[in-house]
Amino acid sequence: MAAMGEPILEVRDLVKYFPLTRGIVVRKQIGAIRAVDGVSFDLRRGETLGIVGESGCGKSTLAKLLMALERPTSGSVRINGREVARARGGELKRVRRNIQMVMQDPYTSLNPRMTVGDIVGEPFEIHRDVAPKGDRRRRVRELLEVVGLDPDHVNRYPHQFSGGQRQRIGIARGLALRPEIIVCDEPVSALDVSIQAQVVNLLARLQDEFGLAYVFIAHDLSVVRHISDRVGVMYLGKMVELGKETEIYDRPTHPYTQALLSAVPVPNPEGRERRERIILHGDPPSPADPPSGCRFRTRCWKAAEICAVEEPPLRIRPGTGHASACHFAETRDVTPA
Amino acid sequence: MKKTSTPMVPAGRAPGGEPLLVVDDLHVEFTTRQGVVRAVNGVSYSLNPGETLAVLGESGSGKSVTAQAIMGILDTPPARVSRGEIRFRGTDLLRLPEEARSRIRGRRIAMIFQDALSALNPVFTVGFQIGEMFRVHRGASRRDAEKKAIELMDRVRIPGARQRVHDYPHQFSGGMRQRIMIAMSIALDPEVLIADEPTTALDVTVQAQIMELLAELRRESDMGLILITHDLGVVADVADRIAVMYGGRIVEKAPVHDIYRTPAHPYAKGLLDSVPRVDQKGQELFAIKGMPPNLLDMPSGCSFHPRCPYRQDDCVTDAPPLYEIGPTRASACHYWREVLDGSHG
Amino acid sequence: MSDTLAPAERPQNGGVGGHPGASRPPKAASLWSDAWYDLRRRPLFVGSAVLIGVLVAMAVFPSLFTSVNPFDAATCDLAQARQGMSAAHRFGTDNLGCDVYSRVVYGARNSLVIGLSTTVVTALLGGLLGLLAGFRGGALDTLLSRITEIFFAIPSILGALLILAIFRTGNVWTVMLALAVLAWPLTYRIMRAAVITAKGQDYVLAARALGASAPRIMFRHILPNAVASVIVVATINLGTFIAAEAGLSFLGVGLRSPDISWGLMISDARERFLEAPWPLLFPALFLSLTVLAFIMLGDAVRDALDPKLR
Repeated sequence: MAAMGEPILEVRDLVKYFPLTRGIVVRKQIGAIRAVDGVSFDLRRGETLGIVGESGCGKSTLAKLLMALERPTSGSVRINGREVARARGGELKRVRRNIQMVMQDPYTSLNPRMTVGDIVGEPFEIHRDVAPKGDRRRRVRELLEVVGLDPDHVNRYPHQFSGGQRQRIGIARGLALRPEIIVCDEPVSALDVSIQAQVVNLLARLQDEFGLAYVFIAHDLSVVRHISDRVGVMYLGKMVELGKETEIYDRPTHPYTQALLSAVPVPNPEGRERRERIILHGDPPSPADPPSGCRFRTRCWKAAEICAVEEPPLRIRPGTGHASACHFAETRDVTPA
Repeated sequence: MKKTSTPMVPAGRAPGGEPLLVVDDLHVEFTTRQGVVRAVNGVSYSLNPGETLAVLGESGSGKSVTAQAIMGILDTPPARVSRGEIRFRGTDLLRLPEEARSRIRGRRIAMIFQDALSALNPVFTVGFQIGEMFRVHRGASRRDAEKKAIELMDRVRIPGARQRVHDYPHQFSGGMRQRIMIAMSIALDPEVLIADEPTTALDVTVQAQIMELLAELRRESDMGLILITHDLGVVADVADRIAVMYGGRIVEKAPVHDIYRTPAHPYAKGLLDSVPRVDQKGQELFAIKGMPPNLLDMPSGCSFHPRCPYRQDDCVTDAPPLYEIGPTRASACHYWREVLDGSHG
Repeated sequence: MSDTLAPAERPQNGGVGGHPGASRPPKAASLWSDAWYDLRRRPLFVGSAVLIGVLVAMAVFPSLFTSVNPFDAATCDLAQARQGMSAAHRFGTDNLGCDVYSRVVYGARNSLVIGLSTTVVTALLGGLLGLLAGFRGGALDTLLSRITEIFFAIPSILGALLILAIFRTGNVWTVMLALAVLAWPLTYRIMRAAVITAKGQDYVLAARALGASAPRIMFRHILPNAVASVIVVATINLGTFIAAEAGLSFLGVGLRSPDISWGLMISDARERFLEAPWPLLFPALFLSLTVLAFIMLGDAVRDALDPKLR
């Protein structure tokens, strides 16, 4: 892994509420979806931070907030010390050079009516000072080569490529401006199993080659473990546990993390009869109306009175080495070796 | 909060030779603008009562098309079953008149799908939709059907079934909708249940709930389960036997423990090797090179040969048959011995 | 059902090697250059373009097609009224004994001008407003959508009567205006819906993440993906407009004699259709050919703009 440097991305108390409104002519706010509700973390140069959590936990909204595709309700996102959340116009455009994204669905993330050359070259059209006009074609071919595609295919259209190849096109587009941070939002989950490893390897190679820092959002816990230096676990808009990859996977302290890890099917049938599995009951509550205190308490087997009253902050708990948002945090190994 | 261990039931044999369901040399073709696509190309497998057979494969492998052929829900045209038999308790379903077939479909062979929301009708209550099975197939009255619906919702462990029977599909979460689908599919006590990627759209914790539910139901009723999936983890958890499909064929068949321990086909081995493991942290993952085949333009010989590390000259020219490599195992690779040796090493 | 075969698309994936790309233009391709390259090779396009070329030539230089000037009253002979086809009158003569062929040729101008200009104005006005409303949303969208609903509530004949009554004269341009004012809301709606669909796609999000400006997103990403349905509706509308002009003439508010248009000819010939079908059939035939040519053209252009269909 690359040497860890100073924080390149600092996220503090990030909050995003989507208002729920009623009425057509006169809009009245009747509530809010608390998609992201007070998330803080740092990302260091060359590092990979994995973000895991189930649908509705706010991880995709978090990605959009980092990319300044959504404006936060409050809180801050700083890249190299520069505030993103309130940047506008030219300032925002400059910020974007440093943070790019790779999206989940390679079928919808590429404009079907643009050639691959136009798609990968568009960053240079938008940021004209990055590459002189005469140089853009060469740069595009170079980028295609870097991600393992034939540079002679610049004049083809996305539909002429397979899913894995399209994802490579998306990665080439994300690399064009030489960003220091790439937000990967489920970059392999839409791909065939036999292709996923290829793309994971490509992302790892590019990280070494260009010193990239990744925010790697995924629901596949084994892929996240493989590529991440640190991992954050989200539940209902909150970060419930954050630590080094080994800390989260080998010594999880938050009950939700433990349940999540134990629920993952292990691709090895040996000893499956004896495998201990924490089956959570019910579904996550609605983010429009989260429980008081700890948000996980409605499904938690450790829940006590304090959990309903006092929200547990994300901090390092006694006897553990990493941050957890549980009043009763304790280590428990739930993954089979 | 409850802790459980994954339930296991030994596979039961059907009384008297013939298994519950046999797919024999099935061929399915699609006519497209670009030409004829052989989506399923000589697939054979069998299912015993109480057994879970996992059909593993990626998109385009033909695993869902095979299931749709069993159900008789292929769109024909463009699809056409060009050869083969599907024997259910000894009767070839493909030769039955449509009327006889529709009496089996849903009643004795049922299916659940990946996307429960689009499989449910948004304008009817779930109770009505579950009860419909009884009204249509058993001629039950409205009130009896509703009572049955509540029973079934209890059976698939939907909390508060009595109150929720009048709710509409959109009022349920993804996991609960999948339970409703399962309730509908088991309503008439089918002997075979085909589950096509039943948990792919669900979250990990919900996925565990659904897989456990399916295992319990299968145990209770001795129903045979065909689980179609691309998820190696889910297969390892619940399957008794596995059929791995690639490019419209079965490339390996084996009991679950054998294939995970010693895969005998390079594709199965490649899939297993590409799963990230803890001890490989920071290293490059093993990756099967190349892309899944284009069904319109299948490679000659063995369809996996362009991606195969074991390839020899004859792989390009001769399509390997499904070699019997043991009493319960088969592999469609000329060099299965080398693959097995590589797996041991 | 992840691997259910969608025959139209699945086999193309991974088929990168087999694309007939060898004869493609060697330099940087773009949607428009590829579309043009593709169009020139489509018989449908070539056929419709030739047909449209002939019709336009007829409209611009009618004297090339006939030596008879139908505006000259001396060319009509009441004694020769309602004659069948002959060497002197290829398409026969009408109620007033005028030569139908030369009237069809001279009528092309008014009919084509009304059809084309109304189509263009409708497509531009409805298309641009639809693009803006769909892209911006919010108050602008609400306002424009309510306005179009008002237009939808007006019966079109009544509306056209009203507008033409205000102008007091029925000439090509007032007819065009009356038709366009009533027709743009439909195009607006179609465009708006297509834009809203395209706007939600991930590639638009990706462009925003790159810092693309609003005009770039609208014209480079959304418009090419939304324009297809508008093209189809526009070409179908073209025929409707030419026919609607006839309806207005019949009601006495459209073009009037001595002006000539296919619509006028059809409406004049209706009463005596059974005894003399020619004066109606020939302008109707030309009207149909025009509509057909433009619909074919629209289809070809739409297909050429979709890389998947090339």
